Amino acid sequence: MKPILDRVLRTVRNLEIKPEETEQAAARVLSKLTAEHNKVVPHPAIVERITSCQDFRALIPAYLSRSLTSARAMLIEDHTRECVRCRKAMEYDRHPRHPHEGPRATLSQRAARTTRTYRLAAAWTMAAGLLLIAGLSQWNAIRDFLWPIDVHAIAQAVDGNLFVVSDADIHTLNAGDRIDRDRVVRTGKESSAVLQLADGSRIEVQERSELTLDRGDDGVKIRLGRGSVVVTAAKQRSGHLYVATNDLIVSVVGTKFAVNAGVKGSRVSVVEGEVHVQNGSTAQALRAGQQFASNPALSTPSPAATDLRYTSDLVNLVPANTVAFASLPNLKEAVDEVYDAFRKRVREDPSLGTRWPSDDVMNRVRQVATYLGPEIIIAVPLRDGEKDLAPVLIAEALQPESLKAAIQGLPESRIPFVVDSGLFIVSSPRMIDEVLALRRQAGSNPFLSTALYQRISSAYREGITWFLAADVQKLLPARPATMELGLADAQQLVIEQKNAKDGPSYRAVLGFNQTRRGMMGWLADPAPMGALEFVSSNAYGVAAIAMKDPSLIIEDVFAFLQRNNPQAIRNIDDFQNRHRIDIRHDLAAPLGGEFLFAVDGPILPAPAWKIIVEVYDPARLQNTIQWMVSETNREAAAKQQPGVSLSSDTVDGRPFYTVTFPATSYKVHYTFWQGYMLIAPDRTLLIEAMQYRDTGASLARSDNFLSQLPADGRDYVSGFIYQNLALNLPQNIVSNAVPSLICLYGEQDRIVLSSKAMIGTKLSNIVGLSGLIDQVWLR
Amino acid sequence: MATMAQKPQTRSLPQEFEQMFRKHHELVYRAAYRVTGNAEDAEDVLQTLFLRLLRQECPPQFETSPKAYLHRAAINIALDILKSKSRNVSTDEVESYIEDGRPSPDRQRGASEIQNWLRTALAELNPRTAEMFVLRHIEGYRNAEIAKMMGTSRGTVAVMLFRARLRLQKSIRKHLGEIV
Repeated sequence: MKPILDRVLRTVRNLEIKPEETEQAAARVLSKLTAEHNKVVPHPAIVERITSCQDFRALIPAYLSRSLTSARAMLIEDHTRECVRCRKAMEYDRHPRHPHEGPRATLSQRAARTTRTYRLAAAWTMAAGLLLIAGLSQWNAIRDFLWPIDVHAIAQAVDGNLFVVSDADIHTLNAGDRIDRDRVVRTGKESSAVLQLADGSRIEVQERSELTLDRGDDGVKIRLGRGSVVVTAAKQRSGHLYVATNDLIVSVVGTKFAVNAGVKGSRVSVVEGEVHVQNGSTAQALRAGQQFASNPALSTPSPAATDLRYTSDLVNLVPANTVAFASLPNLKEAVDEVYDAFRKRVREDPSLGTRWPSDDVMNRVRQVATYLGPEIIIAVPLRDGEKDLAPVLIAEALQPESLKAAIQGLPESRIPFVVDSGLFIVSSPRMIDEVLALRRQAGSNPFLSTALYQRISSAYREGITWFLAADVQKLLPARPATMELGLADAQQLVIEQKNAKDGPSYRAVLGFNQTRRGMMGWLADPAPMGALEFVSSNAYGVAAIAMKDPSLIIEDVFAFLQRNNPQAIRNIDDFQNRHRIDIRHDLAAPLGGEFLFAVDGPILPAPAWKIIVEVYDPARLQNTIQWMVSETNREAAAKQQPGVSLSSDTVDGRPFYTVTFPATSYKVHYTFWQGYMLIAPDRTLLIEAMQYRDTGASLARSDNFLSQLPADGRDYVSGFIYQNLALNLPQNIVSNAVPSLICLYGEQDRIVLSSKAMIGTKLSNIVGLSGLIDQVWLR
Repeated sequence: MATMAQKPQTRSLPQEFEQMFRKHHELVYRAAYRVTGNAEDAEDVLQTLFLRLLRQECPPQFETSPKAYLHRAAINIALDILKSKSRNVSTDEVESYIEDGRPSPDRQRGASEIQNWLRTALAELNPRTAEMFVLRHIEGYRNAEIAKMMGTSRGTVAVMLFRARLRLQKSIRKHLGEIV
C-alpha cells in the first residue's frame, strides 16, 4: 500500500474538472473583469496638485490601474514608503478584503483607530497648512519636488544647425545630445531637427524656430517662442502635453498636430486625433483636419463682393504686344472728394486757389467721369522697330453724345479720342483704329494668348478693385547686369488693391520664370524673425529682412564683381591677403540670416538707431572684429595716424564692446545677446533692447504694429518696413499720418509685397509724411 | 442651462488581454481548482489573477514566460486562499477513507476530507515550499523545471521537496495517530 500522502496527491492530481464548469466560470470572470475595467480611472483629473495624503489616496486607484504618469507613479511609490497610512490604503485597494478573510475589527479597535485618526488628522492639517504657506512662495520648487516630471528631450536628428542659446553665448547641438528644461533651443536657417521627449513624444522643429522645454501642471510644456513644430504626442497615460505660444496654449493627450508661431500670431493644425486650444478666455477643441488661427491676419481675407470686379469686357480690346496694363475704377467719386477737400482748403487760404484749375475745368472733368463706365483700362503696347504706339485708354461710354460735349469743353481737347460703338478710346489714331478693329472681330486678339493676359484674367477671377500689370521681361532689356541680379528671369510685375471687410489691402508681386536666383534669390523664404523682439513698441521706423545665407551672398557679390569689375575684386583679394582675413568665412559665415535696422528712441541730438544681426558664432565674429581692429591700427601706426580703439567690459554679467573712432570720437557699442549681435551708438540702447526681449514688451506685441499686419493668410514674412512717425514727430509735419507696414515675402518663383497701406500710388501715406509733403508742395 | 454631462461609455477589454485570458484561463482555473478543491475558490483565483494583469500589476517574468508565470501565480493565490480558510479536519472522516476501498457515502466524504486536510497542511508550509510541492506533486513539473521557474538549483528544490514531504507525512501521522 502506497503511503497515504501519495494516494491523496494522486487523487488531487486526477481531480475531475468538468470543461463546461471551467467555461462557465471563465465567462463569469470575463464579465466581472469587463465591469472592473470600466471602473478604472484613466485620468484622475480631480487631483491637479498633490498637497496632502488625501490627494495621494485619491490617486491610488489610478496608480493601481497604471493610468498615472510615470512621474506621478514614482511620487506615490515614494510617498507610500514614507507614509504608513497611505501604504495601508494602497494595500487595501490592491488586495480588497477577501470573503474568506477573518472578521472585521471590533468596535473598541475601531474606536481606538478613530482617536488616532483625529490626532493624525490634526497633525496633517497643520502640516498641510505649513505646506500651503510654503507653497505660496515656492510653489514651483515644491511642485517639482513633490511631483517631479521628467522634462528633457534628446535631439534625435539634426539637419543643418541646432543651437542651444544662453544669454551671451550659443552652442551647437548634435544628434544624441540632451536638451534639459529651460534651455532655449533654436534651429538655424534652412535647418530642421527632431527632438524626442522622455515620454516618447516627437517634436519636428522647422527652420528658424525657437523653443524651450518647461513643465505644465500635469505634463511637459513646449514653449514655442517662434517658428513651427510638428508634434507627435505619445499617449499621455495621465496629464497632458502642452505647446504654448505667446497667445495660445494647446493641450493634448496623444495626437499629431502642428503649431506655427510668428509675429502675426499662432496657428494650430490638427493632423490626427483631437487637441484643445486655449486662446485667452476662449477654449476650443480641434479635430483632425481643423485649424485655428489666433489672429485674423493669419486668415485669408474675405472680400466684400460688391467692391470687387470679377469680369471685364474691355480686356479683350487691349492691343496686341501690350507690355503694361492697368484696370482702374472710374474715379468720379475720388475726384469729387479731392475737389471738395481742396475747396475747403482754398476757403481757409485763398492763395492756394492760384495753383489749381478753375472750377469750370474741374466740373467738366467730373462730367466726363460721370458719362464713363465703372472701369477704365490703360494699355501700353511695345513692338520692336515700330513707332506711333501710344498708350491706349479704353472705357465704356454710357452717354456718348453728352460725353463728347463734355470733352470738347475741356481746354486740352486736342487729345485724340473717339466715342464709337459704345466705347470711349483715347490714343493715337492708329491705335484707336486697332482697338475698333478688335471690337469688330471678337476673339481675334493675339493678346489673349499671352502670359500677361493669363495673369490679368487670373486677377479678375480673384476679384480686383484696381490692378496694374507689366511684362517685365519685355520692358527690361536683357543685359549682363540684369542677368547677374536675377532680374532677367522676372516675368511680370503686378500691383493690385482689394477691398475687404476690414479695409483695403494692397499687393505687389514680381514673378519669375524659374526659381529666384542672383540678387533676387537672396531673400529667404518667409520665416519667424526674432530680431524684432529687440525693438520697442515706440520705434519710429524699422526695416528688417531675412536672408538665405550671408556666405552665399558674398560669393554672389564677388562673382558679380569678377565679371563686371575685375579691378574691384583684385582690390578685395589684396585686402584679404594683406590682412589675412577671409571675408566670406570670417565675417559672413558666423552670421545667421536676420538683419534689422531701427530708429528706436530720440531723434535728437542724434538719431537713436540700432542694428540687430543674427549671429550663429559670436566668438568667431568677435575674434574677427578684434583682428580687423588690430590690423587697422597696425596700418594706421605705419602711416602715423591714430588708430581705432576696441574696449570691452561686463555689466551685470553682460559683455559690452565699444569701438571708438579717434578722428570723430564717434563711438559704436555692441554686444552679443541670445544669438544676436546688437549694435547702437549708445550702451543704454543696447540694455533697453535686451530688456525688450527679456520682458516681451517689444514691437512684435504692440497694437500699432499688429493692427497693420495684412490679412493675407501667411504666417511669416521674409522682411518688412514699418513706420510710426506720428507717434513722436510734431503733428503739423505728420498730420493724418498713421502707422504703416509693408510685408515682404520671398517665395520660390516670386517676391510679394503686401500691405494695408497703398503701395506706390500714395507714397506719402506709406512714409507717413503726408503733412510734410503738403507743407512743402502747397506752400 | 445645458449640462455638459456625458453618458458613460462601456469600454471593452483590451483585445490583447482578452486573447490572453481565453488562451490561459483553463490552465489557471484547473490549477487553482486542484489546489483549492472547489469551483468557487478556483473562480476567485481566476478573477484575482487576471484582475492583476488587467491592472498591469505583473512582474517582468510575465513578459518573458507568461504561461509559467500564470501557473505559479494561480498556485500562490490558491495557497493564499487555503491559508485564509485553514480549518480542522475530522479524524473519523479520514479513517473511513483509509480503511475501506469501496465507494460509499462515508468513503466519498472521507476522500474529500483528507484532501481538505492536505490543503490545510499545505497552507501551513512555508509559501515557497508549498509552491514547490504543488508544482512537483500536483502539477507534475520536474525538479529541473521547478528550479528554473523559481530561480534556484535542482538540489535546493530536491532538498526542500524532501523536507516538505517528511513534514506532511509527519503531520498526517500526527493527525491520524497510529492509523497510518
